[in-house]
Amino acid sequence: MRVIMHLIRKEFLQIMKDKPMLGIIFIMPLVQLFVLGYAITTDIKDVAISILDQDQTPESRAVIASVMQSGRFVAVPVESRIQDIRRSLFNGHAQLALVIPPGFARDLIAGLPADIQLIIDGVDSNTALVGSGYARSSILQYAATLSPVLLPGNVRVRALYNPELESTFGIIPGIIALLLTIVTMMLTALGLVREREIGTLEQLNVTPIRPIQLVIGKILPFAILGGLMFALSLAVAMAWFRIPMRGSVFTLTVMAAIYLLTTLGLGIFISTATSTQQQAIFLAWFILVMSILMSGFMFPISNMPEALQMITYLIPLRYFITALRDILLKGATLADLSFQWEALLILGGSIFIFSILNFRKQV
Amino acid sequence: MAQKPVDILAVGLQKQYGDIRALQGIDLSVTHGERFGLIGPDGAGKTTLIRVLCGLIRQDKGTFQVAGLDGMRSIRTIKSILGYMPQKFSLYPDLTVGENLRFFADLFHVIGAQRQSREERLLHFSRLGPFWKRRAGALSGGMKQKLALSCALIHTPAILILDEPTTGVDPVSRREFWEILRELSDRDGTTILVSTPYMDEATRCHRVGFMNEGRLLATDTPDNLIHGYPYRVIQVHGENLFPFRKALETIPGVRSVCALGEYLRVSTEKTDAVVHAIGDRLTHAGATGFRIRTVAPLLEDMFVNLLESGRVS
Repeated sequence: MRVIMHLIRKEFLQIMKDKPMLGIIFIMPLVQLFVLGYAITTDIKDVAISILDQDQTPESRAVIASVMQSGRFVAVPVESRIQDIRRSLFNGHAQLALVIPPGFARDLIAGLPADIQLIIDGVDSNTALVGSGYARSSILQYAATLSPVLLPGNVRVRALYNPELESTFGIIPGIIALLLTIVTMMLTALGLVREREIGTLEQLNVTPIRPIQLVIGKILPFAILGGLMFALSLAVAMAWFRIPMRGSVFTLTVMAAIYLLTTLGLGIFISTATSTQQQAIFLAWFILVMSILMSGFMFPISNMPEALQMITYLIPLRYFITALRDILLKGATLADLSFQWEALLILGGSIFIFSILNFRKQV
Repeated sequence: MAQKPVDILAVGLQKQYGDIRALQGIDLSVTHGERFGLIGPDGAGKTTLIRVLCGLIRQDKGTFQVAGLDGMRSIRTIKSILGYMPQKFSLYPDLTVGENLRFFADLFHVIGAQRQSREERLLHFSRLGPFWKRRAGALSGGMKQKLALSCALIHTPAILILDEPTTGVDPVSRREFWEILRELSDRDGTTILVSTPYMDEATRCHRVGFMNEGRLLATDTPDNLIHGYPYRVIQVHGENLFPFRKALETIPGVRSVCALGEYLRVSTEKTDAVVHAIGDRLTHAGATGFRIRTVAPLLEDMFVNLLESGRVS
């Protein structure tokens, strides 16, 4: 214990001397939160829409008014020919086109299925799909005013936990989870590899320190730094982005501590698998990119091919992002998150134990 | 020295890296208070032997004892009484001289008044006192080595193992460094095992072991090794002697000819006839104004001879 304290003190001495690094550790998360919190949004605003009303009836105008009232769209003026619609989509002037064919009002009044055509620019499929979703719901709303009982317009969507469907609510916890991963995994990996590179690991090996003491003395400071950074990012998320904190601090702390087991373990693993800081950075980035892409942070896991979905079970970040979102937004407790913490404990525990055994073999 | 205890004892140490047989059965014993120098060309296995003795790598075969403790079973106890200084500077370059020293003092649990007196002593002999607050990375090569030595000595180890501690250090710092080592063993009774590529440093040891290709070829005091040299060494001084080098090599009884700047260094059989033959041959070949004199062999001559006879057999 005494030895570990000395190692920790030495580590903080080094960290405090490295002012640029300290800045990176604490400023990087804030910059990322602010920039990514605004940049990564799946909300669609101001979608350019070109409208061609070939029916020119009060009903057709009512449909258009209903769509425009949603406030999501900006109308792009077009000539009254279908070719103009095509051109506006091709040029990128519009991302979405609404075409009301002749006879729309006639069919509507006759009680026949009345057609409305939505044409989307499939190149930016995300914007187009979300945009067309908005347009559809506006049209359905209009339809509901005509015949509230019969038409599917009376289907209402109510988003639980996030009534405005603010995408930042989902994204910010993801970013925070990612930042905790980056800071703790990278610092651990680089810190250990650096000691090997400059030869101090060998110098420590001729002292009576046990490898386990060395590892603990090395990772605890980074766990503490990671925890501080985590708390700071959460504070910003709550104060600035108004992310609710519906769960308990206890649940949050326990989940974060369990998750740290995996990130610190991965850091030790990287340091045993590489011999230079450059190699360590590359391996760390590989793990990070896999985590970002496969954790459901960027792309919904349910959209992935089934075989790849299996891989996501091996990505620790997957469980932590879910847990963090659920604690913040749903107020989930440890009991609600039993799948997540059990998975993390098994995954993290095995990574950690494997890495430490590997480390002991090397020194 | 026979009555003194053996501090380092190696029996049949072998270590192999792939196809390279770094240690091919090393037997070594270093007695208490002795300065033992390991010399040999690069790749002879000196560093491997030292790393095995410090418990940094494990030997394939053989056993060793340090201070009477078994190298396999008691390695942690051994580490607490051993001081090790690696070839490469291995301290924290971002920490100051004082912080590095304190860190190693802490690790060995050297505290309080004891720490203070040791720090003072180490700073005195290393003359690092004025640099207490300087970053270790900003020290000169010689000062870095003295700091590394100070850190290795902070727990006053009974046995000190150094791997080429003065490689790349200026001559003045080298001499100071060896003065420190001499004092440590002569005054404090510290047992020192040191490897070095420099022959002049080897002569500062009580005993020298010459290593080549993973074997210890000869072990004795520098004087005994030199006296054991079976040939006579003569030097031919004069101007522009270099072209006559080849002419001398063919004289019967000449073992080797080496051109060293102003003179030729020739090792010969121990007969006066050979010396006369050299003079005759040089005059015959047209050399003028040269002087021939017999000189004492150097440790280096002995090792070149050992290397060559090893190659023949």
